[in-house]
Order: sequence, then C-alpha cells, then structure tokens
Amino acid sequence: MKKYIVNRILSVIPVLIIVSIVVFSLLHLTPGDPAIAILGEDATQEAIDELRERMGLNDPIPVQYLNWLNDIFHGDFGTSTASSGEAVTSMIASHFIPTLQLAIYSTIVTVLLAVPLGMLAARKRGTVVDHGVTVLALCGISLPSFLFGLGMMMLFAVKLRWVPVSGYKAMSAGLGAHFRTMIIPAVSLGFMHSAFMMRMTRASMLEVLNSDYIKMAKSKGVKELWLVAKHALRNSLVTLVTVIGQGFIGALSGATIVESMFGIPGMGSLVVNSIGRRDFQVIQAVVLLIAVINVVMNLVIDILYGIVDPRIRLS
Amino acid sequence: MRKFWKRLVPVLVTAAMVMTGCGGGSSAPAATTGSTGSDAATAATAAAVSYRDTINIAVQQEAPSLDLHKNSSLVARTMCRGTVWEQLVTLNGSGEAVPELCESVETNADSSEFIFHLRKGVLFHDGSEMTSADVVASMNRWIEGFSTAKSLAGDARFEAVDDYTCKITLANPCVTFLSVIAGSAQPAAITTEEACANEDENGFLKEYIGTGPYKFVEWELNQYILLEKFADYVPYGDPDAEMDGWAGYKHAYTEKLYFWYVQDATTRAAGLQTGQYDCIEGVSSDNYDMVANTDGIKIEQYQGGTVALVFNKKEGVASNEYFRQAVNAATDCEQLLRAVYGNFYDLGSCYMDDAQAFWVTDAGAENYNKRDVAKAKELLEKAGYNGETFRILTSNGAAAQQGMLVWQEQLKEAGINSELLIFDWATFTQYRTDPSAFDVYYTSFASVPVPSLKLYFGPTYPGWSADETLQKYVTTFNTSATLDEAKASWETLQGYSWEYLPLINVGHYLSTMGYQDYVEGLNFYSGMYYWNARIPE
Repeated sequence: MKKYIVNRILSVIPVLIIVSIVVFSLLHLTPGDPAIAILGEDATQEAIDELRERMGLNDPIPVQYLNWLNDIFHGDFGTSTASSGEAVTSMIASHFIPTLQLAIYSTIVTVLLAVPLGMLAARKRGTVVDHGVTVLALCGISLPSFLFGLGMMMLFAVKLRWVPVSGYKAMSAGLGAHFRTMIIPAVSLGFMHSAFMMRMTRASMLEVLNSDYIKMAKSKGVKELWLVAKHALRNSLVTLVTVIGQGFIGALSGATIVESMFGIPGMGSLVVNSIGRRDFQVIQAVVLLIAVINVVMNLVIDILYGIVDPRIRLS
Repeated sequence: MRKFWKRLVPVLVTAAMVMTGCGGGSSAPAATTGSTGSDAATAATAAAVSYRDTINIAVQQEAPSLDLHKNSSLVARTMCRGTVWEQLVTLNGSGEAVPELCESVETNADSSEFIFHLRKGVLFHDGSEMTSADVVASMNRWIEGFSTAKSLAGDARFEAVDDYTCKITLANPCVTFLSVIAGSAQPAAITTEEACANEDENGFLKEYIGTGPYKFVEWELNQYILLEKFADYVPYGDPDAEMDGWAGYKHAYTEKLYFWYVQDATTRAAGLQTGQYDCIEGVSSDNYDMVANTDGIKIEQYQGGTVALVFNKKEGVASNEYFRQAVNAATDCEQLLRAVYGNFYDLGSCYMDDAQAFWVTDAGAENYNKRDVAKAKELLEKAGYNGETFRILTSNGAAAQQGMLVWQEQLKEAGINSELLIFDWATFTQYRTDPSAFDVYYTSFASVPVPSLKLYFGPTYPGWSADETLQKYVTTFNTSATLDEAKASWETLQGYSWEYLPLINVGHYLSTMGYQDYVEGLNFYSGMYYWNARIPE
C-alpha cells in the first residue's frame, strides 16, 4: 500500500509543474495591462509605469514566472492591491474555510439525498418510486444552481424569513447562526450534485444486484437490508467514491455562483471579486490553488480506490 | 468494511476540528441597536430621539482600493468621499466648488494662482492636527496620480506658505481648477503627510486616515467595509441647515456604517425587502418593480453619467468626418438606450449631467437623435464608403451586447456593414489603445463636475480627438479667466463637437438606489451619502 501511495504522489509532481506554467501563462499572455486595469483610465502614465515596475511586469515573462515560483516556495503569494496591501496568503487562508465548510455540508446533503434514493430506485426498478426518483434527478440535472438557489432564497429568506438573504457567520459566532447562513447555499449546491450521483448509485447498484454472488447470497437467505447495505453497497463504492470526490472538488472550486449569490466569502467569490477589482496577484494564486486542490483531490480519490478495492492497488 | 470506516472516521474528525478551530475571523454583525445622542445643534430634536447605532448598506461592487488618489472607482468614492476623507473644496448642490477643509480660497485675476487658507483645529483620525504640510503632501500625491490634474497643473505643485496656508501657481489660467479639486472621479482626498509616505509594495496607501466624520475600521474582503463615527470630528457649516450638495454640517448620527458587498442584484433587492439592508445601491431594471411595489421602500434615481460611442479618428473608416455624420444620422439613441438600460435612461444631447446645472447646454442638439436613413446614405456617398467593415468594440456585459446588436441593425438599414468585437474589460481597455484594432467603441462615462474632465477630448485618449479646431476650443475653455467666459466657450465646444463628432453622446444612464422609508437624513447628490443618515428607534 505504501509503495502504491508513494508512486501516486510522485506522479503528481510533473502535473503540478505543468499546472503552474499554464496558470501563469493564461494570466500573463492574455491581453490587458493589469496596471491600467487597477489604476483606471484617469491615471497618469507615470503612475501606470510605476505600478508596472512595482508588480514586476516589466521583466521578461520567464523571469516573472521564476520569480513567482521562487516566492511561492518561500510561502509568499504576493500582496493584494486592495485592502492596504494584505498578503495574498492570509486572504486565501481566511477564504478557504467558508469554501471548505460549504463543500463538506453540500457533500453531506448530496450523499444523504443521493445514496438512499439511488438504492431505493434500484431496488424498486420500473416502479413509480423509480420513476419519481428519475424525475427528481432530471430536475436536479436540468435546473441551473443559481435558479434553484434563487427559488430557495425567495421562499425561505423573503417569504418565510427563516434565514438571512445573504451573508456568512463563522462557527465562532454560534452554531445556530452559522448554519442559518449556510443551510440554503449547501442545499442548493448539494441538490445539484445529488442528481447525478442518484443516477450513478442506481446504475451501479443495479449492476451489482444482478451479479452472481448477490443471487447466491439471496438464495442463502441473507436479509434484504443486509444484502443491500453490506454486499451491494460495498461493491458499488468505487463508482460512488469517484462521484462524491468529483462533487467535492466541484464544490471546492466551482461554487462561485452560489457563493456570490449568498454572499459566502469563499474561494469562488474571492476569485470573481478579484477579477472585478483587477487584483492579479490574488487571481493568480487562487487559480493555482484551485488547480492544486483538483490534483490533490484526485490523488486522494486514487488512494481511496486502493483502500476500497484492493485489486486496484495490486494491479 | 470495518477497516475502511476506521480509517475514514479520523479524517472526518480532523476536518471538523480544522473547520471549528479556524472558523473565526469573519462574522457578520447584526444590526444591533443603541442610542446616539445629538452631536450638535439639531440637538433639540436629536436629544429627544435615539437612533439605531448601525446602518447596513449593500453595494454592488468592491473597490479596487480605497486609496482615492490612485483609483477612480465609483464605489470607493461614494463610500469614502466626504465620509472618511474630506477635500480642500467640495461641490454644493449647484455644482460649484465651496470650501470644506479651508476657510477660504483666494484666486488671482486670471485664475492661475490659488491660495488656500486652512481651517484651524481640524483633526485627523490619528489625532494629529491638519497643517499645510499634510495638504501639500496629499495634493501633490493626487496630482501625480491623476491625469487631468497633472495636465492642468503642468509642473506646478502645491507649496506651503505657512502652517495654515498653502498655494499653487499654474502656468496657465484655469478657472475650473477648483471644481476639478472638488468633484473629480479621482478625489483630492486630504490625508496626513506620514500616511502619504507610508505605501505598500504596490504603491497604495497602507493606512486610511482622513478628517471626515467616519473613520475606517475594517475591510473584510468579499464581505464588508466598516466605518465608525469619529468622535473628534470637527464639523463646518450651519448645524441647523440642510446640506447643500456635498457641503455643510455633518452630524454623523449613526455610530457604524456597514457597506456590505453583495454582487448579485436580486440578492440586494431581496435583502432590502426583508430589512436585512437599510439601503442598497444599484437596483437593476429587472428588480425595479419587485422593489418599488414593496411597502416601506423608497427609490431614488439620478443621472449617473453619459453613454457614448467613441470614434477612432486616427485611422480606418471612421476617420472620415462624413462617415461619422452618416453613422450619427443612422442612430436611434432611444432604441439603443432602452436595449441597454431598460427604462433607466434619459435622452439628452448635453455631454454634462443634470447635477452640473451650470454647464448644461443644448448646443448641437439639432444633430442629436435625428434618425434619418436617407440622409445617412447620402452622407455615406459623400464619404466614399464602399462597404468597408465598421468594427464596433465593446466589453462583455450582456446589456451592452444587446445594445450593440440593436445598433448594428440600425446601421445595416443605412447600408453600413459592421462587425461586433466583444472582449472582457481588461482586454477591451487594451484594444482601444490600438488605433488599428477598432473603428468605434461603446462605453459610459461617470458624471464629472466640469467639462475639462471629459477625457475623450484629449488628443492622446483612445479615439484620438486631435482635430485642430476642437483642440483650440478645448484650450480656450481650459484657459478661460472667468466662469462666464468658460461657459460660453463650453457651448461653442459642444456645438462644434456635434458637427465634428469625436463621439456620439447617446444619452444619460440613471443610477438607481433603494432604501427603507424609516431611514432619515440621506443625502442625494450624484450618489447616496450617509453623513446625516439616521434610523430612529
């Protein structure tokens, strides 16, 4: 197992180098002068030139890349042009927690909705229950998350006044207050992801339920619940772990719309707002971090494969 | 299976510990209540009434920076001008420059020298007293960063005469110089000499220290900016009088102003409906009915600026004056404005907005919004137009794209073959500096107090209005010795501009704000200001 993990980690290193080059190139080779974008069209040419110099934009691109990489290895992601020169590292640290929380809550919602309903649909294949679950999944896949979120906001915040329209409270402000701000965004995001997972659970369960060993277990008189929960679910876990992992990655890196809509100060809204503020150091660092999270999460999923299904690590 | 869960449980526990352990930091403050006594002489009323200690305001954009010397963003200046930072002079309701941090201004006969006599005893938020050294450092930093101020000042800079007097002597007369200080998009904020020298690695102010009634407390990025009442604020003006524009007595009845950053227009509108926010900026036309039909909510609109189609006069098909006139004759401004702004627009040929009443003129109006396809075709013939592609550059806002599609149809009817080039804002700003990349670009310009701040008259500004006659009129305007002379030359300049057409001034866009009817004392002058805003308990 150790060898398997070490091999997987080593294989990530070249990927990370390529990711850093792509992220840096994307921002630096696209048109648009960051200094003009930050200072605005009323700025003097001298002020623009000075900012370019301070940001190191006058150096050749390879030199800029190596300087950036060097700074990153020293834990320095640069300084934001907003908020009296706050270090990008501290900005990322403060914005990562709400995103992580949202990702975990939405994943819990996803799993709680998708796994039981997917299993139920598989067991009741071809019945009204199966069709009902399919319709629910189709709604989840078809509805854009912002529209579903907006509907939830109008119902629970505007009509019923159970939760605030937007904003975020940390856990330190009290669990009740915290969850009042997070529940609707988590459900909005979780419902979207659960739709796909519901379908995958159903398909995967059906495949397993039709296998010989399940038939054998049935003939031996194993109880229905035990049969599904222990024998069938365990064997469909490889597929489910992939889908849960992808959903989690999506929630970590792609919750931009939900975060913006509900005022959650997470990574998604940080990158969108930084684009609005033309805060290039932050954009660069956050995009890199999101890419790294994707790579690392895929690594974790690969390792989980090995744990769930020993045949994978042996091969 | 048991082994799997044994491994998974510690991972989940660790994740939960990380979340709870690091979850501090930002917490959204509730609109707590408390009472504020009266600050000054409306005391008779104010002492009897107590006010909520917090006003929650939702804004649509986060500022690139709060360093106003190096930033012209609307949100930064509506949040901070006159609130955190004050200026030597500010604008009254008629758009005139009047003293704010100075007691008086002496101007010589030809408006080339300005001597500012500062108010004594004015305190900065760090407790130090304002002197001419602070003013000189601030004003010169502002000139260095602001293109219009630098072009008007040339090599001239502010200098101290004594501790409470400073002056600037310009090489050329400039009767509008005080108005530029009072109301430019890049505000001439006064901070301390030390703060001016204390810059971060990008060259922006590290500390936000002003003399205004509210001091900067905290900026939680992506969440809010908190301003708190400055107890030692030294007000000016008559405490019993209403504010006149941005000038007058600021009571600061409310202890805390929270400016929440809420990007989504529907979320802002919903927050106003539920009372989570007391005031919101940027009500969209889509949400207008929803907000306006809610009991207890008021709406305020003002002309936020002008909408413009700026021609490339340097090269390409639009460098031909007849062609530009043909495009103007083919344009229906109302259709275009409706496509972009819904009902939030005013038609009008004047380059200046309502708030600058002194400068409003109808010179050149005979050439505005007179769609005449036959005339357009005639002018195209005169221009020798042979179906060359007319490239329209715009940024990627959905509304702007809609407007440009409508305009393309109008141009097509007149026989003009056009192509739409749509880019993100940063690319758009880069491309419009390249004369070979476009023939016209669509943009909007925020309100400015004087015509000399209209950037598109500059020969080096994208669009390149280098025409000799136009530049002669610009110089005459900028060097006018009296306001009456300046007004007359402005009328001549605008009249000529509607013939030469460096741009088509399509009309005015309206900025829309909503607020709860229980909020008193809001100041509406080219924006919504909170110096005297209060919510009775």
